[in-house]
Amino acid sequence: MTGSPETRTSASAPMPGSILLGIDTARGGRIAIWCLVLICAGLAAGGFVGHIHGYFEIEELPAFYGWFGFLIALALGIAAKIISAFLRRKEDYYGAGSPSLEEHPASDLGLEAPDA
Amino acid sequence: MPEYLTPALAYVAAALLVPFVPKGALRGLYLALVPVAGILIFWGLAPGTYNAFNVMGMQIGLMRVDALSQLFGLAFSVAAILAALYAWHLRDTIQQVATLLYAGSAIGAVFAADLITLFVFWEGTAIASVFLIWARRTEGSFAAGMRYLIVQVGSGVILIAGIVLLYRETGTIAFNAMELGSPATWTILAAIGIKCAFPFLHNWMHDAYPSATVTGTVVLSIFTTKLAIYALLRGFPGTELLIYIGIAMALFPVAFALLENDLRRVLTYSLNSQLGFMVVGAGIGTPLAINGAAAHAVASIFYQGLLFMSVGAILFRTGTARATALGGLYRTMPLTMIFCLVGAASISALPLTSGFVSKSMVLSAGGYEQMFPVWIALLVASIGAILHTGLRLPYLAFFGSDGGLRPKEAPGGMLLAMGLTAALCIAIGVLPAAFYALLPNDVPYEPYTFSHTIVQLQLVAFVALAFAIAVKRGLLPKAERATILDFDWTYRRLLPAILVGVGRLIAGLWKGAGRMVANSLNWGAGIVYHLHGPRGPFARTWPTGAMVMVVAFLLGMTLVVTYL
Repeated sequence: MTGSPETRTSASAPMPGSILLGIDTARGGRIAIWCLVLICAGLAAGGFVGHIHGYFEIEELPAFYGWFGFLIALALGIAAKIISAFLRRKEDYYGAGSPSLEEHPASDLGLEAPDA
Repeated sequence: MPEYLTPALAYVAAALLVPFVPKGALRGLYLALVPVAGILIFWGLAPGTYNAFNVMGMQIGLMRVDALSQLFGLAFSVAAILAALYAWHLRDTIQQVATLLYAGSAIGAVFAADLITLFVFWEGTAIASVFLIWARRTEGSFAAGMRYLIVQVGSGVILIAGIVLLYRETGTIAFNAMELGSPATWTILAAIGIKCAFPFLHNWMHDAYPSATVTGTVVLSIFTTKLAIYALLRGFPGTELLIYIGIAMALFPVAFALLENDLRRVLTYSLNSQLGFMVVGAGIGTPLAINGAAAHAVASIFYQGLLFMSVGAILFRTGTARATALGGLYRTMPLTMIFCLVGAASISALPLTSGFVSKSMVLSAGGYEQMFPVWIALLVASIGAILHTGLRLPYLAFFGSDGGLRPKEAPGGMLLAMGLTAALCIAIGVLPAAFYALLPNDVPYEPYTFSHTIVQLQLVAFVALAFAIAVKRGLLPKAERATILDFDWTYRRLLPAILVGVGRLIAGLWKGAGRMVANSLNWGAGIVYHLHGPRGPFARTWPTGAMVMVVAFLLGMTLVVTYL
């Protein structure tokens, strides 16, 4: 029942979705990323306000958790992309009887549009 | 207290009465109150073993009350209440009965003081839960349910084999801490490992959970694997092997969670990774590590349950949990989005959420023991969790490219359950002292130090920045309708291919051998025919003189041979 007509009817977003609707633009996205950059910079600077008590010496490095998290996240994303070339197969790879190929039965669903 | 009383009994009795309770609000209320009755049975009891009796010389204990069993019993009971509220709209008696029996079995197992009682409830969880998969009533879910049942019942059979070996070895069936080393303890660990989804034993979860009904998947995510974690904490605390298994568990699902398109399957990989943290905690075995593993199991019941609930609500309203069909749902499902974000924040261990106060204990336990490789591996797995579940999942479902779906907000029961679960996630994060008071060991731990809070905020914010850049630059794998090969490929494709190959080889050899034998027989028959056939030399009428010559020659040869 994916994308059934009744779930595709347009509707104005209720709160708080309507707030996000206002910033869901290319410009809004760019602003959000720059805000994130500022937050990261603030948190990295915040790390110098007090002493970081870690269990290992590496934690004493400036903003260790920040740059380590950033690099590992990018590395994991890229690694997953590389791995996908080896592990990704057609959806019906295991045959037609696979549950992932079936549509979820309507009897277990409550498909309704907002104005229904 | 009656001799046979256990919280499980309340669930079993209630399950028998379900068909007689009118469907609708009354039945919904009834189902939500059953766990309350279960809590009343064990809550407030002084530590000790209740309802113990002797069967064939074996000491059975139906209800062992201590901090660990009470913690898991309470968490399971509260989760059962939330699951009942989430399924308020449901009118399927089979699922309602199965849920009660499943929850009751899990809680019964948690309070088991002996391994026989544990086994009975262990199998109870397997048999009751499969109906939550079959209740989807499709050919695929039936097959997935059968595979799930084989694995789960198999785990129980291995467990009883281990119990028999242990009884022969030690003469006791008490469920206490065991030393890994004998065939009995290895067997019992293998049984727990299957239910816990250890690496290479994990595929049943990713196969079965996304194949269940909307509410069934939520219920399944609560009990089975957490029961296995409880069993590890009770039976194998401080077993070093678990540290390495846990690290592998925490790390390997990260890539799969980043690749999967079905959001329920993303969550099963995410759950598998979180279980790794708990297994590491059990393996480290210090009081702080045990507390951390137990705390993380309880926190995970709620935040992972909340994530499954929100994806279930999406599936309920849109008919799909495929990321490729979703996106932009914040417009019409804003409350579900908020609850999903609370779950995402919790799994990301954002301060003021449950994940922050529980996951950090396991990492700190590794840090205190100066286990640098363990600590760094768990840190990488934490980054993975932020990436695949904390950010990617809500992004694909509620933001990202608009899938064009404009469904109605989730029904009231689902919203209430998600709201309460989200509140619980935040309450645990805001009031850690009250949560820590429930933990099995009395170990002081302060999660909200300046140092810990700032580094965790740094971690989450920088990973979010990396995610934003990766999405913008196309550095993350795209969500696509596809099958991602996992270890199950070995027994769904490789093993059958090997068996077919071996079968063909044997058939070829058999055919060749048959042909060789047939050819040999033909050749032999040809010779015989040549010698004795109508025109063969032995078929001719020989003159008497020739015969005498032959006989004389044979006698002469015999004489020569005799004297040699």
